[in-house]
Amino acid sequence: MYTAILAVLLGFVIAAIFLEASGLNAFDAYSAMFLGAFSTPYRTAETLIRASPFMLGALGFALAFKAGYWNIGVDGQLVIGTIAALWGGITFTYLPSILLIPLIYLLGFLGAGAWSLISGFLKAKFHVNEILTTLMMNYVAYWVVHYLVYFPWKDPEVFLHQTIPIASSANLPILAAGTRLHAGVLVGLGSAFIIYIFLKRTRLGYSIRAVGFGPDGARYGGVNVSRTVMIASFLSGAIVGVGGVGEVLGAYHLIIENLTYNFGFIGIAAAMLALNNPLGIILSSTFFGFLITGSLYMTRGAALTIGAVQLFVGIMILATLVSPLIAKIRKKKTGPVDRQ
Amino acid sequence: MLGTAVMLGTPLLLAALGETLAERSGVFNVGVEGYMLMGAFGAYAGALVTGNLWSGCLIGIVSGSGLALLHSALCVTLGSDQIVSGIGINVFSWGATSFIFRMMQTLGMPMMGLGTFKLVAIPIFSDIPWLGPAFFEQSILTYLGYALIFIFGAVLYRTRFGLKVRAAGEDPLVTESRGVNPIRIRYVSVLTCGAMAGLAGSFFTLVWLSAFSEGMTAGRGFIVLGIVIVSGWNPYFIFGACLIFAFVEALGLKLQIFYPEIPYPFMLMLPYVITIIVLALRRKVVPPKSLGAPYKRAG
Repeated sequence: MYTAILAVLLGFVIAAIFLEASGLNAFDAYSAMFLGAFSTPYRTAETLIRASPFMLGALGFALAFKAGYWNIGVDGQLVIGTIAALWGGITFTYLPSILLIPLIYLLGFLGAGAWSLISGFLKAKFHVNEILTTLMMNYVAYWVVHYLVYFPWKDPEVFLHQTIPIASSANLPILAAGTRLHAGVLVGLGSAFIIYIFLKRTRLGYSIRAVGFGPDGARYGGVNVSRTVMIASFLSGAIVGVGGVGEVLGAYHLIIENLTYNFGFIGIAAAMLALNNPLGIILSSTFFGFLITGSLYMTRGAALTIGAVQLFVGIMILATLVSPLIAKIRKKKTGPVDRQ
Repeated sequence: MLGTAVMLGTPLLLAALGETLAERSGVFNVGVEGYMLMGAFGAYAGALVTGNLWSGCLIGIVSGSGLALLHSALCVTLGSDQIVSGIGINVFSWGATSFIFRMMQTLGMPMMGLGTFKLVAIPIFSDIPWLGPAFFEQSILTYLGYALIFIFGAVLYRTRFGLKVRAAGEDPLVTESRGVNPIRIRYVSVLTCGAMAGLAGSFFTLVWLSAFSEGMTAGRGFIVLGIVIVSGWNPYFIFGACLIFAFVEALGLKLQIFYPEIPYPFMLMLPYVITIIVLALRRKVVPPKSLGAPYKRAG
């Protein structure tokens, strides 16, 4: 908790230096940001909508991390989730919403899970460094979605490169009139609690944490380490994929090429800020949702925002590292072993 | 096409040499991608501001080293997690370069850079049929890369400093007991890595293109990490590995012309797919024993 607060404060201070250096008033910028994110119900809803993919991305990352597995392919798995959602939303259009939406969620879950399992399989069976393979898979996913957006699924009636929209029966219900707040936000929240209980209270969750504490000890205790790593990598990607589905069914109803780019890394940052605690992730990803929504209202319009937010997120990841002493006072939480 | 491969392989070569040294000393730099991106931007902006390609190049090197210094401070001094730091550096670099780049645009900075280093043909060598033009009609940075292969190889295997680097990466405690400060060795190695990656980044904006674009390194820093593993942490094998990856990329570009019916995204994802396949095939390599493990000095 102290680490997170310190990191956030440090992030604000260092980002303020950048803002001042580029000739902006940091105090004005921050107050505009806060008002931008919360001043009306619509904007508050936007903050929660933004937070949703970060939350699921962070939860997926955290679950694998508990098994000592670095899933840095969150960004690509989000993309695969959006692809699965779009495919479902334009293919099974004859189904009623009550069947179609769960089916699409299942497709995203399985699709992104399988995508992530490729790296998990290589790690478990051949000891291939998952950090590298998950990173590479991101770029493969970017080119796959590029292909789909520019060729087979391109909307011929629109000049911009975007796909045809999903059937309206696949759109998620809106929770509050006058906003875009969709039911996918609840999926994120629910997942956080489910994963919290899963890791704490189930046999598989226990095995996953055992592998994270040390593969040798886990093996001695009767855990099938390579199988557990593969399951963790699958579930990790699958949870992230659910986040991608929410973006298509809830927020956009179609895909443009860079719909979710870098959301995965923001999700990873949210997981780190929360020290991979699923309930903490609810807070940290909402914070990043606030950061993105608020920054849209910050200064000089949207031209600067994406870079500025990334800058902020990067500083915050690094700031979590400045306080190892504080983190060490809290007992040893995470012990990723067996890196290569 | 081989010439294109050598061209595309040069930034990989420069960065991979630096990363090999850093990993040999025990420090993993996921942030190489970020060093390269910052180097690319620093070189572009530096050349424009100073009006000189060489000083642009120098600023690119300094930009990369600056991030490497941050990484060392967090991971070598504080003993923080090297992977988390690397991810943070990548995200930070992406954000910082985009932010400053767009800021410069609004202030009327030109989109195009100052220009590029000319390709220089080396007499006699460039007359070798087929191979000559590919390897010896390149920019000065590529020739520097050739020389650095042997310099890094010699330093790592034939000097006392190289021995200390390898010792720090294998067993820093024993190294320390022999009167060598592993912390200092790691700092020097990581800073060298940052400088090399910054130089590699300069290649993008001073040789390849005379312009910067957001995220222009496009994951090549991660391919560099793969190359280091594939070449078994040996500087002499790195160039070969770089050529393989660069050749695949050049092949993708070439096939686009000859087989326009294959959509180009599939060609452009080739280098990443190949990296995964090669890593899966070449899995018997043994990394330095203390790679990724922070070292805390006793007392």
